[in-house]
Amino acid sequence: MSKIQVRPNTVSTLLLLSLGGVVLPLLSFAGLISVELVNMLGRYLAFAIVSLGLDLIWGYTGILSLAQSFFFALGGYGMGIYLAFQGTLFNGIPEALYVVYPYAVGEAKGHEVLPWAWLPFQNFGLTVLLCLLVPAVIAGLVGFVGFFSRVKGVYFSILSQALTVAAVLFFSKNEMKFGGTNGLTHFKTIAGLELSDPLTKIILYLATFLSLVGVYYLSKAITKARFGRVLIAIRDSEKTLRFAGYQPYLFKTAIFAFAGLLAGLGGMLYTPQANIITPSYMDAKWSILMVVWVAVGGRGSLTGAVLGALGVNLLYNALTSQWSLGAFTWSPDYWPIVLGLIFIFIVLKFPGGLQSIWSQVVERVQKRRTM
Amino acid sequence: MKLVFLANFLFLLGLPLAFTQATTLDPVNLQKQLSVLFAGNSDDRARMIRSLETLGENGQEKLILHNLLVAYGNGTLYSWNGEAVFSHAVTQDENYTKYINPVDVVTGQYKVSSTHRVKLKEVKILAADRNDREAVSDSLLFVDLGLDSRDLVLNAVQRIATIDRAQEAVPALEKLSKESQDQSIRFSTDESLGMIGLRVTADPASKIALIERLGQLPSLRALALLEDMKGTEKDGATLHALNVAIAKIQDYEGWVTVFDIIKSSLSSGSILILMAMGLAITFGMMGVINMAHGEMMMIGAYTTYCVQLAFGHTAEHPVPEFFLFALPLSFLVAALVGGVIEWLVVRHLYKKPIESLLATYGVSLILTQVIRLAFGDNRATNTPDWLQGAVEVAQGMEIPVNRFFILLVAIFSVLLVLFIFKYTKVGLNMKATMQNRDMAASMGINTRWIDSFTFMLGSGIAGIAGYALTTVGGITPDMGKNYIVDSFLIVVTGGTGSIAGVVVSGAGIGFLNKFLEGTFFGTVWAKIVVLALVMTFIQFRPSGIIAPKGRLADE
Repeated sequence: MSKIQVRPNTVSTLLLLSLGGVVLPLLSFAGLISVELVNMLGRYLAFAIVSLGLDLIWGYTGILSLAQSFFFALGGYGMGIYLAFQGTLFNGIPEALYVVYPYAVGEAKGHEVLPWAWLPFQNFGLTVLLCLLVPAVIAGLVGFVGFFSRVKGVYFSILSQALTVAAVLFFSKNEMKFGGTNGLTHFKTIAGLELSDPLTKIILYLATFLSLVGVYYLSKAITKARFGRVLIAIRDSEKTLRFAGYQPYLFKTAIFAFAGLLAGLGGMLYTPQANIITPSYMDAKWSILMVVWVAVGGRGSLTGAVLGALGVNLLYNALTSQWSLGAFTWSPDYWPIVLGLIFIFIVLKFPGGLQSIWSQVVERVQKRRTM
Repeated sequence: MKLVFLANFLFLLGLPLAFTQATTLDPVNLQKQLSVLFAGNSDDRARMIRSLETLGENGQEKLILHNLLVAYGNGTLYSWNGEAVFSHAVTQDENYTKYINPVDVVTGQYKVSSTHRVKLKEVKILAADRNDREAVSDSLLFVDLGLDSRDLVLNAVQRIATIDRAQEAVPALEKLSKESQDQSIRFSTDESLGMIGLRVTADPASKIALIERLGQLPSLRALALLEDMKGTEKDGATLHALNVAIAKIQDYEGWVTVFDIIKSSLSSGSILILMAMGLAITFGMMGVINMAHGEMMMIGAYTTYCVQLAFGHTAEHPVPEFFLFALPLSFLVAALVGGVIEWLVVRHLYKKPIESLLATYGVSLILTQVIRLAFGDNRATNTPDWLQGAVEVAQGMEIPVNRFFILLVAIFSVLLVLFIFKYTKVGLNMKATMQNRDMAASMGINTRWIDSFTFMLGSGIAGIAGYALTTVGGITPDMGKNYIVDSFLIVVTGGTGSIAGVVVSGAGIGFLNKFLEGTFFGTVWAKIVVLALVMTFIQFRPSGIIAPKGRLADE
């Protein structure tokens, strides 16, 4: 599989970084653009982090995981539990837990204690650590078990989807004490800051933006290193690599755990900005949508993964609102049809995604110049 | 005029309007008795209601009394021109004024005409008040004992054992026990007689005899009563008899549980097999991850719905023949849609399973949304009468007819697929193409057509699954999503490309699910445990229960 990397020049990189990291927050702070827009972009940037992780395992290593939404929600739930502790407490028990206790909010019942899974999330530092580690460790375990017994491509996808379905059922149950199908919501503060405050929203956006930039360069370093070349070798011919004396399952497990960590990071940054986390974020359709971000952007290209996540979500935002153009009225009901057509069109006509369209254009322009 | 049907109690009860025949019930006398309802005090009314029990000589007449009591209990009996009347419905005009159309309680014919209306305000509604209600429901049971309807008689026989006046029912019950043609009725009558007897007898010897009789039946309904008695019983011999009888009944209860687990696992297994059968062809044999497979099933279900609309079948005007036509049509329509998808999308992706997953997921999004825009969110078919209800094979063991039907359809589809692959030329060509495409092509098989046909066959089978599913639940545009993950797991567990593997793993997973659900876990936990078990199984046997051999195994 040939991959054409368009090397963005230094000027445009700096321009993008300063636009996203300085200009946008300043404009919003000055009240020139709405803070809701910044908040929305912040959420989509969190998706882009997940998308980068998925690109590393799918685009570079050839493992299609349909469990990324599960890892995303794990990070989201970790942060959600922390935020629930920051909200109103009754007898030391967060309000969200009363959904699963058989009595009214505020009623004193001494024998009900905090579920053990909730205990570590009272500390902010520990929460951040766990939001990254728990998805990474679970992903590592799942990956190890699957890759060690050489579960092949599509079979791994189906298994990971089954895992996600089981996780949705697990988190939806009231007795698991994760808020049931309602999930966790009505958060008030994070690390002492009011979530409803515009400044907090800008800070969260900036944190997401910086994380994305960091993750992007880290991923780039991984793909450029020897490790990254082994990953591409796994994608192109795992058998050959094995004959060459490598143990592909170790590399696969490592990168799968890293992608799980990135998904957890995305979920952790997403939850305070969306102010809700529910089991529906683990849903199978989210997993597939995440794959589509990468596919649309261009698998095997890190810029493509980010572009895809932002592009698909901005399009979603534009097409799920009602507007009319002359006699034609667009209805949000048409969005799934557009999305479905994007799926088919990208797969059939542009397997390289947006990235490849761009590089094809560049190629043509260059050809014309040389002629 | 806008008509709004507020109540149609006769329809709700599912009773035939069998008033047309002449009856010996004296209408004048009956109306005279009913006039107590208009004016009498509470005691008079209670006495009058009880006196109704003794009226009527045959099932037809008892049915009139049954309808009377039900209407009085529901408040749908009216006094009009000094006599009690029914109304089939309460209608309402544009000013929200309500009307009734009086119907004679005995003959069931309109008092004036079918279009006549009387303002509801101008008639008195005869409704049982709180004091009357128990008397009405008790008397209803006594009346029901004499009906022709088997289900109502059975219900009355069972419920009459627990009311205060149960003992008065003993003669009627003994008569039923001797004369009834229906085994379930005779059995329930014996149970009720035993239970009533135990409530009134003080003599230890006859008590023991009754307990032994109930234990011998063995009567599930009497279990609670016997256990209650055990708590208060002092007499040693009686206590022993109680323990023996309770043990016998509990033994039987265990068998009923076993029966239930087998029944529900067969039922869920057959749905899973139906779903996975089509997928075994498109995914197992062709290697296409068809995420739109669930939508093929949905299209089969909507085809059935459309056929019903075309035949004009409703609960009031049944045209059950539609169901026979819907079977081949749901197959054909789903197969055609499958063919179009194959031609537009899937044929470009035969060597790329992951790409086919994404593209067909797009197809499933489009199909779901198009159907949702066209039909709205929830539709239900009215299954024909012969598919409703249940057959009782033994006490407490019932087989719902629709579930049995799905089992039959599943068996039919498995046989159909096996037949096509074993005994038809096109099936042979399909197998050859899937096993070695190049060799098959050089033998003159048009592999392009075979691919298309195979995909259509898989989609058509999914359409049949959708057709069968309309008998157990409503149809929604996203009904296919609920089954798709399970179906893929079954095909993977069964071993790709193996029809027998699909049957084994579908039945196995169905059984495992229901067994765990019925014994150790709740519904959700059972599902989680099954998913975990299946994932573990695949770790140890990645190519499934029946692994492909030879060339196929290399892929």
